[in-house]
Amino acid sequence: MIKSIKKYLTIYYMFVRSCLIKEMERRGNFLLMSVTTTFLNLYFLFYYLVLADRMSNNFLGWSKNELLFFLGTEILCHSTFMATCFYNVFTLPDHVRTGSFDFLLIKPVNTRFLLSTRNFNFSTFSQILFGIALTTYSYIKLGFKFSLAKLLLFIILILNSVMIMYLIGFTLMCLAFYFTKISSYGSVLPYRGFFAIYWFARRPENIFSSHVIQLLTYICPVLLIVNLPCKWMIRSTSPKTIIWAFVFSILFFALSHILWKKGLQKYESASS
Amino acid sequence: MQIKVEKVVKDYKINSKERGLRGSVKGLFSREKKTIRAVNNISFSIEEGECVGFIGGNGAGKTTTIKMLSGLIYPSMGSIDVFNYNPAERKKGFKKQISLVMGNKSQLWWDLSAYESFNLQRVLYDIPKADFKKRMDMLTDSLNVATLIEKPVRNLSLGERMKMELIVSLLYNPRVLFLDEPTIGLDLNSQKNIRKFLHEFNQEYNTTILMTSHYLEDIESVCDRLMFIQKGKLIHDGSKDEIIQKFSQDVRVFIRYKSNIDIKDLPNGIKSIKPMDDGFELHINKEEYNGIIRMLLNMGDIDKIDIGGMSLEHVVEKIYGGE
Amino acid sequence: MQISKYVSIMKVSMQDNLEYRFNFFTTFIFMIAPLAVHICLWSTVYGVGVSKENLSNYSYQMMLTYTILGHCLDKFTGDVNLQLRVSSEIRDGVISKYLLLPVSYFNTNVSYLITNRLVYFVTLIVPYLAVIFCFRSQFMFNTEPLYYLVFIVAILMAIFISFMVNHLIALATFWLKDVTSLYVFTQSTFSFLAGGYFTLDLLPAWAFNLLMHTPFPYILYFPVAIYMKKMNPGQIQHYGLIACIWIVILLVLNAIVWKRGVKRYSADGM
Repeated sequence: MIKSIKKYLTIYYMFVRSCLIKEMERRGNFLLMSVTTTFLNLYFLFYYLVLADRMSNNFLGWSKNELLFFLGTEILCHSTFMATCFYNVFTLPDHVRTGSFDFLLIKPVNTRFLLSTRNFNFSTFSQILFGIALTTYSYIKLGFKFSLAKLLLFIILILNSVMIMYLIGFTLMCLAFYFTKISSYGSVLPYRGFFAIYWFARRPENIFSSHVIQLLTYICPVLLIVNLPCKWMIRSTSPKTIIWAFVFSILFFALSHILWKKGLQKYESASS
Repeated sequence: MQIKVEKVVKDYKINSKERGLRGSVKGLFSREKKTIRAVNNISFSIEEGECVGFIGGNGAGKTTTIKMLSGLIYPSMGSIDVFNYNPAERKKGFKKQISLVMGNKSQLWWDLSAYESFNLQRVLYDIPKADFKKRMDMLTDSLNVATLIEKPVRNLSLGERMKMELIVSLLYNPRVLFLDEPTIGLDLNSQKNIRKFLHEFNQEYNTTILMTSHYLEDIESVCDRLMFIQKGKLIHDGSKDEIIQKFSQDVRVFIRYKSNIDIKDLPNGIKSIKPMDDGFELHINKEEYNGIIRMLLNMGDIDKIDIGGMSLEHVVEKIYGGE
Repeated sequence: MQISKYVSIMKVSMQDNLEYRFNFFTTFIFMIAPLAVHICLWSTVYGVGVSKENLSNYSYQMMLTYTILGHCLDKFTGDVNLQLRVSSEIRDGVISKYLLLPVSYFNTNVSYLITNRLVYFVTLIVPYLAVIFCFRSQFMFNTEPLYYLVFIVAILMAIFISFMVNHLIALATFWLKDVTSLYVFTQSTFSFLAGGYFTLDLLPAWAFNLLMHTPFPYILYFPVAIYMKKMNPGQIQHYGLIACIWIVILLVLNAIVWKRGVKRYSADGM
């Protein structure tokens, strides 16, 4: 068992290392991506600040600094996801199309693991620093005191959020098995679906009516992704919601695994 | 220990749509499903250490069969047994004993050196470090690529890349090596080297080899047993010599005369005459052989004459021509 | 330029487009998400009691109309697949055939654009109308035929401008190795500048004026503003002229960049 864990960790380490080597060779691209992602984050900031400005510095009950903290949390979730999962979660259609999926299937190591961890992206990793800076700055400005326990749970909640994002993307990508006609731009479907869902997640929940908030926290719990860690730190949350966040991840993981297995069966009964 | 395939059938369902614009609009709402039988009742068994070649045209079912043997797809009907495993279950123990090399697809990391891919393989297949080093050195020496393993894979030539593919698939000492068109697109020299390597490897380590190819030279130089597949059916199965024997009641003669001899002047009773740029290629029945040869020799001064049994190429032509 | 050639291309690309029927249906579904979010946002904002004056004199009805129409138009004028398709065609060397055939790549893409937009329109007009119907009590319906005419012309200009801008960016594939990050960046930026995130009237006057001299607002904001009668005929003429100038500039830019790109392509033997 320990040996197994060690083996998977070694494989993960080898993947991360080779991605680092690869990216260091393309420094221009690294820089370009860091710059562009920063800009994209700034648009959102601009958008909310303009609105907050128009509404006498109070965006539906959120002060400017609270908005900044929210954005910082969003950047942390988003960039961690991009660094670890994004380039893996949507690559399945490409693997199937080029035939490299066969090689993943044939290795004596869990195929899902190989698929989900193969790429690690360092250029979006730089955004994590930006997110940390933003959250720290606004947290201090809001007058909160530092608390290790609070911070730890914050980090765990963010990791949980990244897991949920991974599961959303992965589940959508399993659809690739069912639509064998994957063209070079048909594979953007899961990607677009993911961002359609993420649209709901990356807003402060106050923009929704209370009924919708309930819906989006418990039934289609996208608000667990960014709003929950954010509220934990600067506002208030109920323990019920936090526990539900973890329970949901586990349930969703189980569901995604069933879809994956079923998808594999479909793949095995067909061919290119 | 062996590989056993019994009455295996593989069907695919595809969407069929009518041609043209009208068909596309119709296709928006409903599509007919057609079933295609890619593999039609194939049975054979292979002993450990054998070298088997699959020959067949495109779409004959060769790649499908290999994929079923390696567990990538499962058969619609029938059973497959590889070393007492069912490939479709894809058990770990099974995966560690097989290896798959596909001619036009690569499993190496494109931006890194081949060594990195070897190292990854070491971890994936739990190869002990000492064995890994020994085997890697042995393989890279046999294929003459020891100096190239640190180069990024994208900078290697196609032939060198193929050699690395072979190495990465043999590092963990599999019992059977499945090859799907391994020499496709390679230059002559690389093809020769790889064929030589495979043949010698099989002789020395008794690794079972199963190879599909379009190139008859591949099959000829590496394999001793041939299976002919056409439209999903196994139409012939036997050793190289057996098959040539079976089909070569004819003698093949290539003849070139010093003077210009017309095709009409050639003696009667020759089974088939093929005019070439520099002479004639004749197929003569064994019984008629002596008489006809004497007549040919008397027809004029001979510049070149070449007599032999049927080559594999002719056998293949004949087999596929006859169907 | 033989029209019949391009008609054949259109026929084939129509079939090509119809193959990806799933693509169209999902585009609509994915349009719903941002739309829903923005509608919730404005409902809550106006519900809380923010006054019209703070929001550039936009009443709730106006804001809602802008949001719905804006989203519908956004998906209609911009073809997300164009850039990916052009990129892959350049990278895979498919454009070589255009260098040999007596057909221009740009014109072929225009033919493809026409069919693509036609199919989109036919497929999505019903869902669009359904969405508007859901909000019919709040939606501001324009009843003057002249405005509709100008509106349609503005939409056609918007499609063409959006196409040329995206095509131009896609030609960067000749020089850059990794264009996907460029696309993500430009698509978001242009969407922002076109008024896709929020109505450009919310910007300060200097920013608004500056922006109207770029081609972007003509992709989204301009047609919608016409429909909502936000502009008087004088302004429409003024901005319409700017849009036309940009069309010419973009045509020329596309031609120049294409020539340079092909030179590089042939020199490098990509």
